[in-house]
Amino acid sequence: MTGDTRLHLIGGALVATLAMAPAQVLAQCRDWDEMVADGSLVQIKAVLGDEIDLTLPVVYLNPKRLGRCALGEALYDGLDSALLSAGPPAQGFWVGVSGRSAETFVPEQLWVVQGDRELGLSLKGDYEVDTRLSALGELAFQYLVVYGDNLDPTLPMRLIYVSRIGPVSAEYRVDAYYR
Amino acid sequence: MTTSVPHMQVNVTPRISVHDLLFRSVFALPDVENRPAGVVGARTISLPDTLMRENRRGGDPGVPATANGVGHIHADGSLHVNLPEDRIRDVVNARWGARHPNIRDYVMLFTPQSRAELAVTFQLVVEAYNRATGRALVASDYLAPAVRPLTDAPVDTVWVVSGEPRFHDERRCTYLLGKDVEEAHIYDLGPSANPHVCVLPTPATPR
Repeated sequence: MTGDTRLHLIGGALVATLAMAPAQVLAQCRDWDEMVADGSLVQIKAVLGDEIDLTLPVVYLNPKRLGRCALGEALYDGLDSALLSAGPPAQGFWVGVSGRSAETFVPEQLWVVQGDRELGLSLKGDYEVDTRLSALGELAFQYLVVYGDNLDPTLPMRLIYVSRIGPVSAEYRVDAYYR
Repeated sequence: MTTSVPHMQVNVTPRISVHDLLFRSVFALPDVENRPAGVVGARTISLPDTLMRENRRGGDPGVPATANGVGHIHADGSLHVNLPEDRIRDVVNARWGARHPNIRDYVMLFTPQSRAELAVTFQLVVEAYNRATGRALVASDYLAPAVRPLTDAPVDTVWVVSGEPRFHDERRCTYLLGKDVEEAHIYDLGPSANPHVCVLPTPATPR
């Protein structure tokens, strides 16, 4: 654990470093299975025989309660003040990566669709610190991906990953509990 | 588009939401398997050999063995599918695709870029599927929904458009009706006569 997370602006020179304190688990947060059940944690699966075995659990971070439950309070608050609530539109997602094909994950291939809008990646970073969710699941990697656009957390969205076997996707809704 | 092998579209980027719907719809068809294709990045719409043999015994005039009977999807969202000659003629005349230069009964369908276009493309895929399997599936039963609406608006208007040379733009459907609607679908870009049907949900409440 290094205590920091680096965010790299794709195609640009900006490299921001966020100093973050160790994660602090919120007592009222739901566990992994409960988050899967309420839809706030979706798992995008690209699994097909010997060809690919990749599972991407994803959580939307902008709703504060949900973001804190995903990352832990201190880590989330640092991210929120430095990026998500800093001014320019920024939609953050936590992405876990697991499975035999974890090494093949390409963050730029993950898209968010809501209505007619298709959001492509603006920023990405890998977590070198434990998050609340990484402590709950067996992951090879975990990423922060950020989209420089707006989303309506009250409306459903679709998370699409373009894998080597074609696009795989999952519908995502923020449970009212987290809004 | 190339006119020889490899037969493919060029400089086309699929809309990611439509590309996703295409894959979800095609690989939801019964017994269809997603397998690698000979073309780089393409995926075969594969059927079990037993199913194909069964259909051939049933007297089908002869579905080519190419691509296990249905076809394949390219990485850019265009497809090659097996269709009978009369249907290929319809597709080419409506400019929805191009005949394969070397393979009989094989046609490339251009990349669908909207839900309305996808509905037409998928209809043709299901026709290829039905031809290969001897089944009679209805495409609309398998066309994957986009993000599910919170409530499904009842359809109350069907607007028939004719005489347009090539028309598959949802916005034009809305424009033709002259009302503020949230969504429009177009069905049956038919063969040579090019009839079009815009199905419009209940017009939105005036704002």
